Amino acid sequence: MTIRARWAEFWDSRDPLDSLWRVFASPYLTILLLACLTVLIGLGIILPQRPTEALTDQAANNLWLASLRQHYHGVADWFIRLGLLDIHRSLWMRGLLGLLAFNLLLATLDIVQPRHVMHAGMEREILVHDPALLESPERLMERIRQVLHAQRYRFLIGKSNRLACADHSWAFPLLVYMGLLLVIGGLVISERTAWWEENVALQPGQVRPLGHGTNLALRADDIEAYNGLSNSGHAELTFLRGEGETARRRLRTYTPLFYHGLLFYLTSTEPVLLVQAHDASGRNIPLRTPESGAVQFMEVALHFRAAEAPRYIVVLDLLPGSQLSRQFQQSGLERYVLVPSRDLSLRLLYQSPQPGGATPAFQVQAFRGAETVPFYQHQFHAAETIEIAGDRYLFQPQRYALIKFGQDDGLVFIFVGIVLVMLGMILSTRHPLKRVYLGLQPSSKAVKVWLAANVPATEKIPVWFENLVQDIATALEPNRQGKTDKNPFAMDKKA
Amino acid sequence: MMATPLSAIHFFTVAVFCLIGSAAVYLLAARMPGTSPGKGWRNVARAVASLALLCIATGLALSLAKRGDWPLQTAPEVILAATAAAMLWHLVHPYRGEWRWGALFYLGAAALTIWGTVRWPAAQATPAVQAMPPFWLFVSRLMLALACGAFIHAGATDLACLLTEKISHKICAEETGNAAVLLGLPFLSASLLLTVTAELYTRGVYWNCSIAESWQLLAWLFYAIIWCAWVILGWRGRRIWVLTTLGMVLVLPMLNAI
Repeated sequence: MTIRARWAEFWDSRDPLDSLWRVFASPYLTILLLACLTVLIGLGIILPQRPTEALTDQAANNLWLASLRQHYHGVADWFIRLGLLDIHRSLWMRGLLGLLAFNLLLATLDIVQPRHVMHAGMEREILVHDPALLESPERLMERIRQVLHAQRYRFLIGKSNRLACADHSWAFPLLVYMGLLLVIGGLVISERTAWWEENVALQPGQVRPLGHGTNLALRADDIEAYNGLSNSGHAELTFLRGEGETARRRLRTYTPLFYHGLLFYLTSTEPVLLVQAHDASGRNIPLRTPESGAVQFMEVALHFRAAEAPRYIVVLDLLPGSQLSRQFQQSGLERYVLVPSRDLSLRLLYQSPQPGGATPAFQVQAFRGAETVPFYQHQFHAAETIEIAGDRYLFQPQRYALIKFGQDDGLVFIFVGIVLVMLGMILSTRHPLKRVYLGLQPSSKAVKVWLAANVPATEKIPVWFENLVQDIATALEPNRQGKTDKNPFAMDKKA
Repeated sequence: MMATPLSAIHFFTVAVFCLIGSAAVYLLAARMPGTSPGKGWRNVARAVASLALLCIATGLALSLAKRGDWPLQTAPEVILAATAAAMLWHLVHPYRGEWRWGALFYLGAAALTIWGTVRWPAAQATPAVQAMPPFWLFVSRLMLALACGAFIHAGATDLACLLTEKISHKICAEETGNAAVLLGLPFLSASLLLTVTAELYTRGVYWNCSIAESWQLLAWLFYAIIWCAWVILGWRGRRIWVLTTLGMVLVLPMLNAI
């Protein structure tokens, strides 16, 4: 059947609203929308997609766009305008998902309560001559209902008592449709209501309000690093409301914690070194770091984070699937402390332990003025006071927990939806939807019983439909056989 | 463990020869003069294919024993497991169409085994994958391999049917491919669900938009179209054959992207 013929089947200019329903509830539209989504995802694979780093870092974004223009010339601007560089967040994706949700909603309603003769291709006709049945079409319909009911078909009769619909295994596609609707609904809820706080650094004993109207605060105690072994890496969390403790929980690496509707993750733990300096008389010596500029502190906290450093080079690679990466000019495991009053600088290096190995070590190197060779160096594992050039420096290693927490109410819908989709697909594998439309056309000599199945006319006649027609024919008139004929109700498809 | 001169590669090589042997049996049977070949030929081909399946499984098990870790952590392992799954589905639902096109499946399986063997030894899993609990990753990949196997089996069978009708001008009454597609889709959904759950469980992100995930989603959407056509619209025969053959083509980059 051509597209034009298919369109003509759906569209009735006498009733545009009804025709619109038919179009939007059609499984052909479902297929079309799924095909469009497939193409869109395919474009997302072929075309370079803006990496997360570029979304959060304006400098990286500008560099990435400049590189894209250099590579794709004038086409790059078209990609940007058409939103093809952020396909998963683009209007195309949202529009298609919205249309698909609308289509699935109408299709779901159409499965629950069929309103139209949809995609009925395979047709059969039975002629009934039994005088008793000729007099009462209702009785004839009742006999058909009994046959279908015996075969576990759901039987729905139209308002006119001349048209009816019967279907088998209708609940399984319904499960799939409802599952998909739940997934799309969950995605919408996630996008609109979910919030996440990432890389929240907590030092032992530090209290941090959670915010977002939760009225809760969080304190992390006893932080242990992940060393590659299972069950390692944890932080003891204490939840506080007002002045009182509400709960104590252990948060492990790679394992979420659920509390008060919130999800908590221990992203990692980072080593931190607290540094203080005292002169011979015990007075504090002001300290600076390159990141703090001219501001001086009595105590500085040095964070050692391999993945982050103040200076880095953005590495661009526009090959599909390549990640934007950063090469660090200064290792995140190397920090500096400046002592302006003594014209000294301290270089502190963190040496992470081997998996399952010993405790981490710190190395301190002291430099005078612009010298490049240290005049003093020392390694330590625990808190230690070291004398450098007549002053005492106190180094206190600590471990901070990096926590991610948030709330996403859409997750439940997404997961329940996926499970429903799977369940529906598995069940419909064995029992595909069988739908039959029935119509009666009485005349003075006989009643024509028209039957149409949800199978294209071009396909081979399914056994179930052939058997069903035979059973109905036998029940109505044992000597009659079903035969193919043109649909007598082609002009009146509204049931 | 006692050192053995046999490695996984040896088993995979034997599997390739077995699969080519199965294809040769089909082609020889098709060229036999006179009446159509009997059931015995088909059984010989199936026995040789079973040996190939056994070889791939042994090769993967041997590699696993040496590594001492959960299997299917890397792409070559998944490719070979998908090939084994395709053969498993093929043994469960044997092709009963025209002989000469039946060889297509075995040649395709041999090509996949060569592909997996060329990419051997298995590279290290990506950091994102390493974060997933190994058992979870194994189950997810097993589901993916079973799904890909079903898609490959369905695609090859339906391609044989298409060729039977188009070139040999004979009627093909195969429906096994469609059943495999409808088995493959739930397995692919399960694999996606497990991946999403594992990523949410370990890192709090359920979708990474990575190439591997995008390919899986693309394949899922494509097979959802076939599901819709099969279950709701009642399509059978040629149209479904074309779609499943296209689906088989999509499976290859999906496996490559793991």
